[in-house]
Amino acid sequence: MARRKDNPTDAPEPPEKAPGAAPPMAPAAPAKPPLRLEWIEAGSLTENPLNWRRHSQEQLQSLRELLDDPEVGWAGACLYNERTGRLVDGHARREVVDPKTPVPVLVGNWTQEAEAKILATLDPVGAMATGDVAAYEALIAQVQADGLWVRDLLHNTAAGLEAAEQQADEDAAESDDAHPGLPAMECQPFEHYDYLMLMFRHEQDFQRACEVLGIKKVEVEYPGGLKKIGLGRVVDGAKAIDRLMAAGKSGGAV
Amino acid sequence: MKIVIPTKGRADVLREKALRLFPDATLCVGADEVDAYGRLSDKLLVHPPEVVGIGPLRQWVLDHVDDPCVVMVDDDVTHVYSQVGFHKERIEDADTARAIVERMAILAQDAGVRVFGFNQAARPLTYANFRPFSLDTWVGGVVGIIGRELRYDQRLLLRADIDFCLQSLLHDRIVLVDGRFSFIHTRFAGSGGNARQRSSERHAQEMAYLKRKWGPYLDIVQAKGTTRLVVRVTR
Repeated sequence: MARRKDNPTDAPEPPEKAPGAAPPMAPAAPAKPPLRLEWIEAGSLTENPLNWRRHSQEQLQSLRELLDDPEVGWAGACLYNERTGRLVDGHARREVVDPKTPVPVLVGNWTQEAEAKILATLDPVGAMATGDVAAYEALIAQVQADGLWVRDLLHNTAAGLEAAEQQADEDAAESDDAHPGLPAMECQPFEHYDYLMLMFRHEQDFQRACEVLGIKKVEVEYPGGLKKIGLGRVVDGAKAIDRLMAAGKSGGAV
Repeated sequence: MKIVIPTKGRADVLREKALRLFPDATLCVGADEVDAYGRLSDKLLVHPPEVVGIGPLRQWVLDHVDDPCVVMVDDDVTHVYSQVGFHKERIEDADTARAIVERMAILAQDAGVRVFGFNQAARPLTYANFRPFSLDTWVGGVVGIIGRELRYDQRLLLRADIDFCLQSLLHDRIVLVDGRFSFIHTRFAGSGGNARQRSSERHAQEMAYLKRKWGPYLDIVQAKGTTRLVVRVTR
Protein backbone atom coordinates (compact mmCIF):
# COMPACT_ATOMS: atom_id res chain seq x y z
CA MET A 1 0.00 0.00 0.00
CA ALA A 2 1.60 3.26 -1.12
CA ARG A 3 1.34 5.94 1.54
CA ARG A 4 2.32 9.55 1.60
CA LYS A 5 3.84 10.29 4.94
CA ASP A 6 4.49 13.91 4.17
CA ASN A 7 0.88 14.89 3.96
CA PRO A 8 0.06 17.56 6.49
CA THR A 9 -3.30 15.95 7.17
CA ASP A 10 -1.67 12.78 8.51
CA ALA A 11 -2.69 12.06 12.06
CA PRO A 12 0.15 12.52 14.55
CA GLU A 13 1.82 9.34 15.71
CA PRO A 14 0.54 8.16 19.08
CA PRO A 15 2.88 9.19 21.89
CA GLU A 16 5.43 6.56 22.85
CA LYS A 17 5.43 5.07 26.29
CA ALA A 18 7.58 7.05 28.68
CA PRO A 19 10.84 5.23 29.51
CA GLY A 20 10.80 3.56 32.87
CA ALA A 21 7.08 3.72 33.28
CA ALA A 22 5.65 1.06 35.56
CA PRO A 23 3.90 -1.90 33.92
CA PRO A 24 0.14 -1.90 34.32
CA MET A 25 -1.17 -3.70 37.41
CA ALA A 26 -3.91 -5.52 35.51
CA PRO A 27 -4.41 -6.40 31.86
CA ALA A 28 -5.81 -3.35 30.12
CA ALA A 29 -9.26 -3.59 28.57
CA PRO A 30 -9.00 -4.18 24.83
CA ALA A 31 -8.61 -0.82 23.21
CA LYS A 32 -11.03 0.26 20.53
CA PRO A 33 -9.55 -0.07 17.09
CA PRO A 34 -7.68 3.11 16.41
CA LEU A 35 -8.81 5.05 13.41
CA ARG A 36 -6.38 7.34 11.65
CA LEU A 37 -6.39 9.42 8.51
CA GLU A 38 -3.81 8.72 5.85
CA TRP A 39 -3.35 9.75 2.24
CA ILE A 40 -2.92 6.60 0.20
CA GLU A 41 -2.59 6.02 -3.53
CA ALA A 42 -6.03 4.98 -4.83
CA GLY A 43 -4.65 2.12 -6.93
CA SER A 44 -3.11 0.44 -3.91
CA LEU A 45 -6.42 0.10 -2.07
CA THR A 46 -7.71 -3.44 -2.61
CA GLU A 47 -11.40 -3.70 -3.39
CA ASN A 48 -13.51 -5.66 -0.99
CA PRO A 49 -14.96 -8.81 -2.59
CA LEU A 50 -17.94 -8.53 -0.22
CA ASN A 51 -18.86 -5.06 -1.41
CA TRP A 52 -22.54 -5.22 -2.35
CA ARG A 53 -23.02 -1.70 -3.69
CA ARG A 54 -23.09 -1.19 -7.46
CA HIS A 55 -22.27 2.22 -8.87
CA SER A 56 -24.07 3.61 -11.90
CA GLN A 57 -22.32 5.76 -14.48
CA GLU A 58 -24.48 8.68 -13.31
CA GLN A 59 -23.22 8.26 -9.75
CA LEU A 60 -19.61 7.99 -10.87
CA GLN A 61 -19.94 11.05 -13.10
CA SER A 62 -21.50 13.10 -10.30
CA LEU A 63 -18.75 12.03 -7.94
CA ARG A 64 -16.08 12.86 -10.49
CA GLU A 65 -17.62 16.29 -11.06
CA LEU A 66 -17.65 17.03 -7.32
CA LEU A 67 -14.09 15.82 -6.79
CA ASP A 68 -12.96 17.96 -9.72
CA ASP A 69 -14.82 20.98 -8.38
CA PRO A 70 -12.10 23.24 -6.96
CA GLU A 71 -14.53 24.50 -4.31
CA VAL A 72 -15.37 20.99 -3.10
CA GLY A 73 -12.71 18.40 -3.90
CA TRP A 74 -12.30 15.76 -1.19
CA ALA A 75 -14.95 16.28 1.47
CA GLY A 76 -14.86 12.81 2.96
CA ALA A 77 -12.56 9.85 3.37
CA CYS A 78 -12.59 6.22 2.26
CA LEU A 79 -12.52 3.50 4.92
CA TYR A 80 -9.83 0.80 4.93
CA ASN A 81 -9.29 -2.24 7.13
CA GLU A 82 -5.57 -2.72 7.60
CA ARG A 83 -6.06 -6.14 9.18
CA THR A 84 -7.63 -7.68 6.07
CA GLY A 85 -6.02 -5.23 3.68
CA ARG A 86 -9.36 -4.41 2.06
CA LEU A 87 -11.38 -1.33 1.35
CA VAL A 88 -14.59 -1.08 3.36
CA ASP A 89 -16.09 2.13 2.01
CA GLY A 90 -15.11 4.32 -0.95
CA HIS A 91 -15.08 1.91 -3.88
CA ALA A 92 -16.67 4.49 -6.20
CA ARG A 93 -14.20 7.19 -5.16
CA ARG A 94 -11.34 4.78 -5.75
CA GLU A 95 -12.73 4.10 -9.20
CA VAL A 96 -13.10 7.68 -10.41
CA VAL A 97 -9.59 8.91 -9.65
CA ASP A 98 -6.26 8.11 -11.25
CA PRO A 99 -4.71 5.08 -9.46
CA LYS A 100 -1.66 7.17 -8.63
CA THR A 101 -3.71 9.85 -6.89
CA PRO A 102 -3.36 9.93 -3.10
CA VAL A 103 -6.82 9.84 -1.55
CA PRO A 104 -7.85 10.43 2.07
CA VAL A 105 -8.45 7.15 3.85
CA LEU A 106 -9.54 6.38 7.37
CA VAL A 107 -7.52 3.32 8.33
CA GLY A 108 -8.94 1.04 10.99
CA ASN A 109 -8.33 -2.43 12.32
CA TRP A 110 -11.21 -4.87 12.47
CA THR A 111 -11.71 -8.61 12.32
CA GLN A 112 -13.16 -10.08 9.17
CA GLU A 113 -16.52 -10.53 10.93
CA ALA A 114 -16.60 -6.92 12.08
CA GLU A 115 -15.66 -5.78 8.61
CA ALA A 116 -18.61 -7.71 7.15
CA LYS A 117 -20.90 -6.10 9.73
CA ILE A 118 -19.64 -2.64 8.81
CA LEU A 119 -20.13 -3.35 5.11
CA ALA A 120 -23.66 -4.58 5.71
CA THR A 121 -24.70 -1.67 7.90
CA LEU A 122 -22.75 1.46 6.98
CA ASP A 123 -24.86 2.56 4.02
CA PRO A 124 -28.21 1.20 5.25
CA VAL A 125 -27.85 3.17 8.50
CA GLY A 126 -27.27 6.34 6.47
CA ALA A 127 -30.24 5.53 4.28
CA MET A 128 -32.52 5.38 7.33
CA ALA A 129 -32.50 9.16 7.53
CA THR A 130 -35.51 10.76 5.91
CA GLY A 131 -35.48 14.07 4.09
CA ASP A 132 -37.42 17.28 4.43
CA VAL A 133 -38.33 18.57 0.96
CA ALA A 134 -38.64 22.20 2.02
CA ALA A 135 -35.33 22.13 3.88
CA TYR A 136 -33.60 20.50 0.93
CA GLU A 137 -35.05 22.99 -1.53
CA ALA A 138 -33.94 25.84 0.71
CA LEU A 139 -30.50 24.29 0.81
CA ILE A 140 -30.13 23.82 -2.93
CA ALA A 141 -31.29 27.38 -3.51
CA GLN A 142 -27.93 28.33 -2.00
CA VAL A 143 -26.00 25.93 -4.20
CA GLN A 144 -24.42 27.08 -7.42
CA ALA A 145 -24.31 23.90 -9.47
CA ASP A 146 -22.73 24.51 -12.84
CA GLY A 147 -22.09 20.89 -13.77
CA LEU A 148 -24.79 18.88 -15.50
CA TRP A 149 -24.31 15.77 -13.39
CA VAL A 150 -24.49 17.58 -10.09
CA ARG A 151 -27.52 19.57 -11.28
CA ASP A 152 -29.21 16.29 -12.10
CA LEU A 153 -28.18 14.84 -8.77
CA LEU A 154 -29.79 17.79 -6.96
CA HIS A 155 -32.87 17.59 -9.14
CA ASN A 156 -33.29 13.85 -8.65
CA THR A 157 -32.79 14.12 -4.91
CA ALA A 158 -35.43 16.86 -4.65
CA ALA A 159 -37.80 14.91 -6.87
CA GLY A 160 -37.20 11.74 -4.85
CA LEU A 161 -37.91 13.53 -1.58
CA GLU A 162 -41.06 15.03 -3.02
CA ALA A 163 -42.24 11.67 -4.31
CA ALA A 164 -41.54 10.05 -0.94
CA GLU A 165 -43.47 12.79 0.84
CA GLN A 166 -46.40 12.41 -1.51
CA GLN A 167 -46.34 8.66 -1.07
CA ALA A 168 -46.43 9.12 2.70
CA ASP A 169 -49.41 11.49 2.34
CA GLU A 170 -51.08 9.01 0.07
CA ASP A 171 -50.55 6.16 2.49
CA ALA A 172 -51.90 8.22 5.33
CA ALA A 173 -54.95 9.35 3.43
CA GLU A 174 -58.21 7.64 4.16
CA SER A 175 -59.51 5.61 1.26
CA ASP A 176 -63.25 5.61 1.93
CA ASP A 177 -63.98 6.17 -1.73
CA ALA A 178 -61.43 3.67 -2.99
CA HIS A 179 -61.43 3.62 -6.75
CA PRO A 180 -60.79 0.28 -8.39
CA GLY A 181 -58.70 1.92 -11.11
CA LEU A 182 -59.19 1.73 -14.84
CA PRO A 183 -57.58 -1.28 -16.51
CA ALA A 184 -57.31 0.68 -19.75
CA MET A 185 -55.24 3.37 -18.05
CA GLU A 186 -52.61 0.88 -16.97
CA CYS A 187 -49.73 0.10 -19.26
CA GLN A 188 -50.47 -3.08 -21.16
CA PRO A 189 -47.85 -5.84 -21.46
CA PHE A 190 -44.83 -4.48 -23.32
CA GLU A 191 -46.41 -1.03 -23.63
CA HIS A 192 -43.72 1.55 -23.10
CA TYR A 193 -43.16 5.14 -24.14
CA ASP A 194 -39.80 6.78 -24.32
CA TYR A 195 -37.71 8.76 -26.70
CA LEU A 196 -34.22 9.19 -28.02
CA MET A 197 -32.74 12.39 -29.34
CA LEU A 198 -30.23 12.37 -32.16
CA MET A 199 -27.57 15.02 -32.48
CA PHE A 200 -25.92 15.62 -35.82
CA ARG A 201 -22.72 17.52 -36.32
CA HIS A 202 -22.57 17.50 -40.10
CA GLU A 203 -25.08 18.61 -42.67
CA GLN A 204 -24.52 15.43 -44.72
CA ASP A 205 -25.29 13.16 -41.77
CA PHE A 206 -28.41 15.12 -40.94
CA GLN A 207 -29.68 15.06 -44.53
CA ARG A 208 -28.95 11.35 -44.82
CA ALA A 209 -30.85 10.61 -41.59
CA CYS A 210 -33.81 12.73 -42.76
CA GLU A 211 -33.85 10.82 -46.02
CA VAL A 212 -33.66 7.38 -44.43
CA LEU A 213 -36.19 8.21 -41.71
CA GLY A 214 -38.56 9.97 -44.09
CA ILE A 215 -38.47 13.37 -42.38
CA LYS A 216 -39.75 16.09 -44.65
CA LYS A 217 -39.07 19.79 -44.34
CA VAL A 218 -41.66 21.95 -42.64
CA GLU A 219 -42.12 25.63 -43.20
CA VAL A 220 -41.56 27.63 -40.03
CA GLU A 221 -40.91 31.24 -39.34
CA TYR A 222 -37.81 32.15 -37.42
CA PRO A 223 -38.14 34.92 -34.89
CA GLY A 224 -36.16 38.04 -35.41
CA GLY A 225 -33.21 38.83 -33.21
CA LEU A 226 -30.67 36.36 -32.01
CA LYS A 227 -32.82 33.88 -30.13
CA LYS A 228 -32.59 30.47 -31.66
CA ILE A 229 -35.41 28.10 -30.94
CA GLY A 230 -34.51 24.82 -32.55
CA LEU A 231 -37.08 22.86 -34.44
CA GLY A 232 -37.23 19.22 -33.37
CA ARG A 233 -38.93 16.46 -35.25
CA VAL A 234 -40.37 13.21 -34.03
CA VAL A 235 -40.33 9.87 -35.85
CA ASP A 236 -42.31 6.96 -34.47
CA GLY A 237 -39.86 4.43 -33.05
CA ALA A 238 -41.29 1.38 -34.82
CA LYS A 239 -41.30 3.21 -38.16
CA ALA A 240 -37.74 4.39 -37.60
CA ILE A 241 -36.58 0.82 -36.97
CA ASP A 242 -38.37 -0.42 -40.11
CA ARG A 243 -36.86 2.33 -42.23
CA LEU A 244 -33.37 1.83 -40.86
CA MET A 245 -33.63 -1.93 -41.44
CA ALA A 246 -34.92 -1.37 -44.96
CA ALA A 247 -32.13 1.07 -45.70
CA GLY A 248 -29.62 -1.42 -44.33
CA LYS A 249 -30.96 -4.28 -46.49
CA SER A 250 -30.95 -2.18 -49.63
CA GLY A 251 -27.33 -1.34 -49.05
CA GLY A 252 -28.11 2.29 -48.28
CA ALA A 253 -25.92 4.15 -45.91
CA VAL A 254 -27.38 4.17 -42.41
CA MET B 1 -52.33 26.46 -35.58
CA LYS B 2 -54.61 29.00 -33.96
CA ILE B 3 -53.75 30.61 -30.66
CA VAL B 4 -56.82 31.58 -28.64
CA ILE B 5 -56.88 33.58 -25.42
CA PRO B 6 -60.14 33.07 -23.53
CA THR B 7 -60.59 36.19 -21.43
CA LYS B 8 -63.20 37.92 -19.32
CA GLY B 9 -63.33 41.28 -17.57
CA ARG B 10 -59.71 42.12 -18.31
CA ALA B 11 -59.87 44.27 -21.42
CA ASP B 12 -58.12 47.09 -19.60
CA VAL B 13 -54.98 45.10 -18.82
CA LEU B 14 -54.81 42.36 -21.43
CA ARG B 15 -52.45 44.36 -23.62
CA GLU B 16 -49.90 44.12 -20.80
CA LYS B 17 -50.52 40.41 -20.28
CA ALA B 18 -51.15 37.53 -22.68
CA LEU B 19 -51.91 39.79 -25.65
CA ARG B 20 -48.45 41.32 -25.40
CA LEU B 21 -46.86 37.87 -25.64
CA PHE B 22 -49.26 36.67 -28.34
CA PRO B 23 -50.36 39.80 -30.23
CA ASP B 24 -51.76 37.75 -33.13
CA ALA B 25 -53.94 35.59 -30.91
CA THR B 26 -57.69 35.44 -31.23
CA LEU B 27 -59.51 36.65 -28.14
CA CYS B 28 -62.42 34.51 -27.04
CA VAL B 29 -64.81 36.86 -25.21
CA GLY B 30 -68.40 36.99 -24.06
CA ALA B 31 -70.96 38.78 -26.22
CA ASP B 32 -71.35 41.38 -23.49
CA GLU B 33 -67.70 42.42 -23.76
CA VAL B 34 -67.26 42.78 -27.50
CA ASP B 35 -66.95 46.56 -27.32
CA ALA B 36 -64.28 46.53 -24.64
CA TYR B 37 -62.16 43.84 -26.26
CA GLY B 38 -62.83 45.14 -29.77
CA ARG B 39 -60.62 48.10 -28.89
CA LEU B 40 -57.69 45.72 -28.40
CA SER B 41 -58.02 43.40 -31.35
CA ASP B 42 -60.15 42.69 -34.35
CA LYS B 43 -59.64 38.96 -33.93
CA LEU B 44 -62.53 38.13 -31.64
CA LEU B 45 -64.30 34.84 -31.16
CA VAL B 46 -67.52 35.74 -29.42
CA HIS B 47 -69.22 33.19 -27.22
CA PRO B 48 -72.73 33.38 -25.76
CA PRO B 49 -72.77 34.83 -22.23
CA GLU B 50 -74.12 31.62 -20.76
CA VAL B 51 -70.91 29.75 -21.61
CA VAL B 52 -69.00 30.05 -18.34
CA GLY B 53 -66.30 28.02 -16.60
CA ILE B 54 -63.18 26.42 -17.98
CA GLY B 55 -64.62 23.12 -19.22
CA PRO B 56 -67.60 24.61 -21.12
CA LEU B 57 -65.56 27.50 -22.50
CA ARG B 58 -62.66 25.38 -23.72
CA GLN B 59 -65.09 22.96 -25.38
CA TRP B 60 -66.96 25.87 -26.96
CA VAL B 61 -63.67 27.09 -28.45
CA LEU B 62 -62.90 23.62 -29.82
CA ASP B 63 -66.36 23.47 -31.35
CA HIS B 64 -66.03 26.88 -33.02
CA VAL B 65 -62.47 26.92 -34.36
CA ASP B 66 -61.82 25.17 -37.68
CA ASP B 67 -58.07 24.88 -37.40
CA PRO B 68 -57.28 21.33 -36.22
CA CYS B 69 -54.60 22.61 -33.85
CA VAL B 70 -55.75 25.05 -31.18
CA VAL B 71 -53.53 26.45 -28.46
CA MET B 72 -55.43 28.05 -25.58
CA VAL B 73 -53.45 30.52 -23.51
CA ASP B 74 -54.58 31.85 -20.12
CA ASP B 75 -55.08 35.59 -20.24
CA ASP B 76 -52.75 36.16 -17.27
CA VAL B 77 -49.69 34.64 -18.98
CA THR B 78 -47.02 37.31 -19.33
CA HIS B 79 -43.72 35.73 -20.27
CA VAL B 80 -41.79 32.50 -20.78
CA TYR B 81 -38.81 31.13 -18.94
CA SER B 82 -36.36 28.99 -20.82
CA GLN B 83 -34.83 26.52 -18.38
CA VAL B 84 -32.18 25.35 -20.82
CA GLY B 85 -28.73 26.27 -19.53
CA PHE B 86 -27.59 26.98 -16.05
CA HIS B 87 -29.83 29.94 -15.35
CA LYS B 88 -33.38 30.44 -16.45
CA GLU B 89 -33.82 33.04 -19.16
CA ARG B 90 -36.83 35.32 -19.31
CA ILE B 91 -38.38 35.60 -22.77
CA GLU B 92 -40.88 38.35 -23.51
CA ASP B 93 -40.40 38.56 -27.23
CA ALA B 94 -43.63 37.71 -29.07
CA ASP B 95 -41.95 36.09 -32.07
CA THR B 96 -39.95 33.78 -29.85
CA ALA B 97 -43.00 32.87 -27.76
CA ARG B 98 -44.91 32.00 -30.89
CA ALA B 99 -41.97 30.00 -32.24
CA ILE B 100 -41.82 27.99 -29.01
CA VAL B 101 -45.50 27.11 -29.26
CA GLU B 102 -45.36 26.48 -33.00
CA ARG B 103 -42.43 24.10 -32.78
CA MET B 104 -44.10 22.19 -29.99
CA ALA B 105 -47.21 21.83 -32.13
CA ILE B 106 -45.06 20.36 -34.90
CA LEU B 107 -43.49 17.90 -32.46
CA ALA B 108 -46.91 16.87 -31.16
CA GLN B 109 -48.22 16.45 -34.68
CA ASP B 110 -45.20 14.30 -35.59
CA ALA B 111 -45.66 12.21 -32.46
CA GLY B 112 -49.38 11.71 -33.03
CA VAL B 113 -50.13 13.33 -29.69
CA ARG B 114 -53.40 15.21 -29.22
CA VAL B 115 -52.57 17.24 -26.13
CA PHE B 116 -49.37 19.17 -25.55
CA GLY B 117 -48.07 21.91 -23.29
CA PHE B 118 -45.20 23.17 -21.23
CA ASN B 119 -43.50 22.86 -17.86
CA GLN B 120 -45.68 24.31 -15.13
CA ALA B 121 -42.79 24.99 -12.72
CA ALA B 122 -40.17 27.61 -13.53
CA ARG B 123 -37.39 26.15 -11.43
CA PRO B 124 -34.27 25.21 -13.37
CA LEU B 125 -33.22 22.76 -10.70
CA THR B 126 -36.38 20.76 -11.27
CA TYR B 127 -35.69 20.57 -15.00
CA ALA B 128 -33.83 17.38 -15.87
CA ASN B 129 -31.38 17.99 -18.67
CA PHE B 130 -31.61 14.45 -19.87
CA ARG B 131 -35.38 14.32 -19.97
CA PRO B 132 -36.51 17.44 -21.78
CA PHE B 133 -39.99 16.05 -22.39
CA SER B 134 -42.50 14.46 -20.06
CA LEU B 135 -45.08 12.06 -21.39
CA ASP B 136 -47.21 11.26 -18.37
CA THR B 137 -48.23 14.46 -16.68
CA TRP B 138 -50.72 17.24 -17.28
CA VAL B 139 -50.64 20.73 -18.72
CA GLY B 140 -52.43 23.97 -17.96
CA GLY B 141 -51.96 27.65 -18.68
CA VAL B 142 -50.95 27.03 -22.27
CA VAL B 143 -52.76 23.99 -23.62
CA GLY B 144 -52.35 22.71 -27.16
CA ILE B 145 -55.00 20.43 -28.64
CA ILE B 146 -54.85 18.66 -31.99
CA GLY B 147 -58.08 17.24 -33.37
CA ARG B 148 -61.49 17.10 -31.74
CA GLU B 149 -61.75 13.50 -30.60
CA LEU B 150 -61.43 14.40 -26.93
CA ARG B 151 -64.04 16.57 -25.27
CA TYR B 152 -63.77 18.71 -22.18
CA ASP B 153 -65.87 17.63 -19.23
CA GLN B 154 -68.34 20.49 -19.02
CA ARG B 155 -69.20 19.76 -15.42
CA LEU B 156 -65.79 21.09 -14.47
CA LEU B 157 -65.76 24.86 -14.24
CA LEU B 158 -62.36 25.12 -12.53
CA ARG B 159 -60.17 22.06 -12.93
CA ALA B 160 -61.02 20.92 -16.44
CA ASP B 161 -57.51 20.77 -17.90
CA ILE B 162 -56.28 17.96 -15.69
CA ASP B 163 -59.36 15.92 -16.54
CA PHE B 164 -58.76 16.54 -20.24
CA CYS B 165 -55.15 15.42 -19.91
CA LEU B 166 -56.19 12.27 -18.03
CA GLN B 167 -58.61 11.49 -20.85
CA SER B 168 -55.74 11.91 -23.27
CA LEU B 169 -53.53 9.63 -21.16
CA LEU B 170 -56.32 7.05 -21.16
CA HIS B 171 -57.04 7.15 -24.88
CA ASP B 172 -53.92 8.51 -26.59
CA ARG B 173 -51.58 7.08 -23.92
CA ILE B 174 -49.28 10.13 -23.70
CA VAL B 175 -49.41 13.90 -23.27
CA LEU B 176 -46.39 15.75 -24.63
CA VAL B 177 -44.96 18.27 -22.20
CA ASP B 178 -41.93 20.36 -23.11
CA GLY B 179 -39.98 20.78 -19.90
CA ARG B 180 -37.62 23.33 -21.40
CA PHE B 181 -40.06 26.20 -21.28
CA SER B 182 -42.46 27.52 -18.64
CA PHE B 183 -45.16 30.08 -19.36
CA ILE B 184 -45.53 32.30 -16.36
CA HIS B 185 -48.76 33.71 -14.98
CA THR B 186 -48.93 37.04 -13.25
CA ARG B 187 -51.96 36.86 -11.05
CA PHE B 188 -54.58 39.55 -11.52
CA ALA B 189 -55.84 41.31 -8.48
CA GLY B 190 -59.61 41.47 -8.19
CA SER B 191 -62.27 40.00 -10.40
CA GLY B 192 -62.26 38.98 -14.02
CA GLY B 193 -61.28 35.71 -15.62
CA ASN B 194 -62.90 32.74 -13.99
CA ALA B 195 -63.15 34.42 -10.56
CA ARG B 196 -66.93 34.34 -10.45
CA GLN B 197 -66.95 30.53 -10.60
CA ARG B 198 -64.38 30.16 -7.86
CA SER B 199 -65.43 29.32 -4.32
CA SER B 200 -64.07 26.91 -1.76
CA GLU B 201 -67.25 24.84 -2.02
CA ARG B 202 -67.05 24.60 -5.79
CA HIS B 203 -63.38 23.76 -5.52
CA ALA B 204 -64.00 20.94 -3.02
CA GLN B 205 -66.89 19.64 -5.11
CA GLU B 206 -64.74 19.42 -8.24
CA MET B 207 -61.89 17.79 -6.38
CA ALA B 208 -64.24 15.12 -5.04
CA TYR B 209 -65.70 14.61 -8.52
CA LEU B 210 -62.25 14.29 -10.09
CA LYS B 211 -61.17 11.83 -7.41
CA ARG B 212 -64.28 9.71 -7.98
CA LYS B 213 -63.69 9.80 -11.71
CA TRP B 214 -59.97 9.11 -11.78
CA GLY B 215 -59.26 7.45 -8.43
CA PRO B 216 -55.66 6.35 -8.10
CA TYR B 217 -54.53 8.22 -11.20
CA LEU B 218 -54.98 11.58 -9.57
CA ASP B 219 -53.48 12.74 -6.32
CA ILE B 220 -54.72 15.76 -4.45
CA VAL B 221 -51.86 17.04 -2.36
CA GLN B 222 -52.30 19.72 0.26
CA ALA B 223 -49.02 21.49 0.84
CA LYS B 224 -48.11 24.92 2.17
CA GLY B 225 -51.70 26.13 2.06
CA THR B 226 -52.27 25.22 -1.57
CA THR B 227 -53.82 22.29 -3.30
CA ARG B 228 -51.74 20.57 -5.92
CA LEU B 229 -53.03 18.04 -8.39
CA VAL B 230 -50.61 15.32 -9.37
CA VAL B 231 -51.18 12.80 -12.13
CA ARG B 232 -50.16 9.27 -11.19
CA VAL B 233 -50.08 7.47 -14.48
CA THR B 234 -47.12 5.34 -15.50
CA ARG B 235 -46.03 5.27 -19.10
